[in-house]
Amino acid sequence: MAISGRAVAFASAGLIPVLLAPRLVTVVAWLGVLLLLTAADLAMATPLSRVEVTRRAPDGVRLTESVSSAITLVNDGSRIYRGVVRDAWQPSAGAQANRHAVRVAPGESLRILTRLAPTRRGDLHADLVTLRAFGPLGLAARQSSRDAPATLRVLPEFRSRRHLPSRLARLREMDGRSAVQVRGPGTEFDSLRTYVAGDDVRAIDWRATARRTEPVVRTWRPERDRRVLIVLDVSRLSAARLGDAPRLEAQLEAALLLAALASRAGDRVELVAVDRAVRARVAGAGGAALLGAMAGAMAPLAPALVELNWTAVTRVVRERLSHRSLVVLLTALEPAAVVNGLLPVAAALTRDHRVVLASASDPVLAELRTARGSSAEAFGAAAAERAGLEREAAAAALRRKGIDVVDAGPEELAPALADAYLALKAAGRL
Amino acid sequence: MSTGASLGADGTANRDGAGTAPPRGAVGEPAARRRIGRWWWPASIVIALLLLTVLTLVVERPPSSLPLAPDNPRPAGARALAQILEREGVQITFERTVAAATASTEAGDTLFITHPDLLSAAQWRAVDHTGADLVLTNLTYSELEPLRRILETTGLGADGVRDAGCSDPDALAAQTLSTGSGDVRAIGGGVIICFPGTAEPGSEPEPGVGAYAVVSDGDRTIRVLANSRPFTNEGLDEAGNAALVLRALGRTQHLTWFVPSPTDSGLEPSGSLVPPGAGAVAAWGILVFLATALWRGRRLGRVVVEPLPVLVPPAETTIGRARLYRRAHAHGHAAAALRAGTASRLAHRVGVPESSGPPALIEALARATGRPPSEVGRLMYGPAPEDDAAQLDLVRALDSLESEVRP
Repeated sequence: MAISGRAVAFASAGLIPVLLAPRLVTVVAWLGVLLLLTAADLAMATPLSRVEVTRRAPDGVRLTESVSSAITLVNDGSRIYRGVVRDAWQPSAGAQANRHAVRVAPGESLRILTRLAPTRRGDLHADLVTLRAFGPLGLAARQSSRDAPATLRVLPEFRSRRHLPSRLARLREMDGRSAVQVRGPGTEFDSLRTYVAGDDVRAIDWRATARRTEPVVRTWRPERDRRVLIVLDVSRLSAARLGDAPRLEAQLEAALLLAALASRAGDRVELVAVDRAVRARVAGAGGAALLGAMAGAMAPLAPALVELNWTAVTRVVRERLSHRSLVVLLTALEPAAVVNGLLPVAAALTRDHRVVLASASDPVLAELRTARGSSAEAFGAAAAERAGLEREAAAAALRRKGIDVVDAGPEELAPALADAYLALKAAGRL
Repeated sequence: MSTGASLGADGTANRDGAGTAPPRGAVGEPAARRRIGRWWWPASIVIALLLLTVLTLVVERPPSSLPLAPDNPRPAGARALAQILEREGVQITFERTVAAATASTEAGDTLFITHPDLLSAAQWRAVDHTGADLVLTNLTYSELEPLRRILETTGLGADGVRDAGCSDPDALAAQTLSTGSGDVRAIGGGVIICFPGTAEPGSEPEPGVGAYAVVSDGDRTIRVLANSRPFTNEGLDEAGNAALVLRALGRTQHLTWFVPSPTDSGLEPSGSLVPPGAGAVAAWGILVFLATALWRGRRLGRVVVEPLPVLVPPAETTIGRARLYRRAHAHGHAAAALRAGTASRLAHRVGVPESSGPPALIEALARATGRPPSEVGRLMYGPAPEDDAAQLDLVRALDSLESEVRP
């Protein structure tokens, strides 16, 4: 049960009789009246066991957008249900106005909406629905909490999609480019067309020209139907806070942009998230369904404080890829992790595939490196220089093993990785 | 992930310990200890307050410093007298207010008033109406009925030992009295004056003036000792003081020992400062307070907790390494790192492969900046700085060198 502010106001009004007859018995009498009225009000409130509660949450929402979750109340009792309903969600679901004053007549139902503005990616869970039913006087209320489970899947924001149009334009430019500029072992023959001034003479197809009266050049298009495997590291390295968000968020943005770009370029994209074992996997989706499938698979991912299992990564790569493909490792360029984990398996990966390591670097390191205020900051700068040198050494070791390294800040990682992909594609090195 | 939920309790996660430490709250024993820990402070405060209360009740009150109080062991106090009386079986009630003194005194008792001048006329009437035998002292002026018509006080009277000089049996038993200054003079009838005084040393005693007066007023007796010295711890054992005051006070079974308080102005019991009905209003206040507490204290459903994600602070290993450098005063290591970083960037800029040795880089840098090679060499490969100031100088010199080499 609960009492209302009205009951307190009634108790306060007792000051008048107490001042008129300043004796203890007046207070006791007033308390008795209050208790009596409260008990009567409580007895006349609708029994909450006769109120049914169902909750429906939308399937998913992208971070920074907002949705409404619905609660349906059905009053099966014989009295009117007048009171308050609290639609409780975990705080990051952003349910601001989640207390609703309701009035449901007997036999009727009411649908109430709670606006959710999630502030975090992931599966956000609803808590109990609490009902409070006041009596006709509004002095006291019955209260009960119901379990009405619901989960809202908050998908990654995909903020990096603003980089997509410019990269798609670059992709289209690559189509039909003359062979010399883009020729490589993987570039595919597209068509023949009439020579126009400016075409490289080395692109002239002499046999075709012989059959016709005018010079004909060959055109090429970027290779298609390549496979791209994105390996997402969700181990301890992805838990590091870069700016406001963990490194994992930058990795997700990069993976989404690369997947969007590669699927438009005609390549088949797969995703695995690995820490000690495979945490999530997207395969076989293409076209418009791919991004939805990837966002859905990414939503519940969270960093775990475990070491990345590189053996599991190589096993997944071997299982999933039979032909030469592009393997993108979205992890961190951490010297210790690289030397102990990636370098031993690098040869096995690069023998069969083209491997790109993409890492979001820590902006704090750059700040540390350039701080000059005090002697303590000079030591910080020295430590940051040392860390930077070690990272460069690790990157150099990886490049010697044939692994391309993309190292950029958390905001710049997604476009940098997309550019690296386009460069590989233009060079026909996929 | 499960690790995230369990480590979220303290908001942060330790990269090293988190993998091995068991989740908090998973084992029952630490949880119980935490519960005890939460109650420890309030419980200890309550226990301390209880102990303090018991101690104040148990420990004897400190002796009073009130003149003529029966619990005052100082020279001006009267504990000796009170103890002797109690040993002789006299029941003493010590009072500070007129209301209490009149309430605990009945006709036939003895009422000892140490400072009757502090009483107002109404208070005196209340005392007078008890019908008890009165013993008064420190009577400096006498405006009190019925004494006003019988006695008057004189400031005269010398210190010293006097003889009884009257027919009062108590005075005769005492024989001598050692007293201070002050006397009473009889101006009416029915009064016996004892221990006649002399206005000046050596002069003859004035008739009707003495240190002790006994007034028989109907069925009760008023005894007046002009000076209170015979009652005090200091003066009790002098001359025949003890005999006189013990006989005066020990006459009845019950003695009310009244030391008037200057702040006691009324006749009603104390506590009358609170207006009538305040108790009822206070009870009403408590009622409203409890109702408000019930109203605001009842939650609309439970508190929802957020499973916090694992977060590792940024650059924590680098910051840790910087602190290690600093604590160890490793200026050499720090300078080597700073120079190597600068060398790596500048070599890239001036197009010298990193594999080529220092001389090639020094030469290229000297060409690029126009500085003499010896200076560049000392800056890039010279001795390590010895202290913090030299290290800051080195950092700034490297910065300026770097700013001079444009790509």
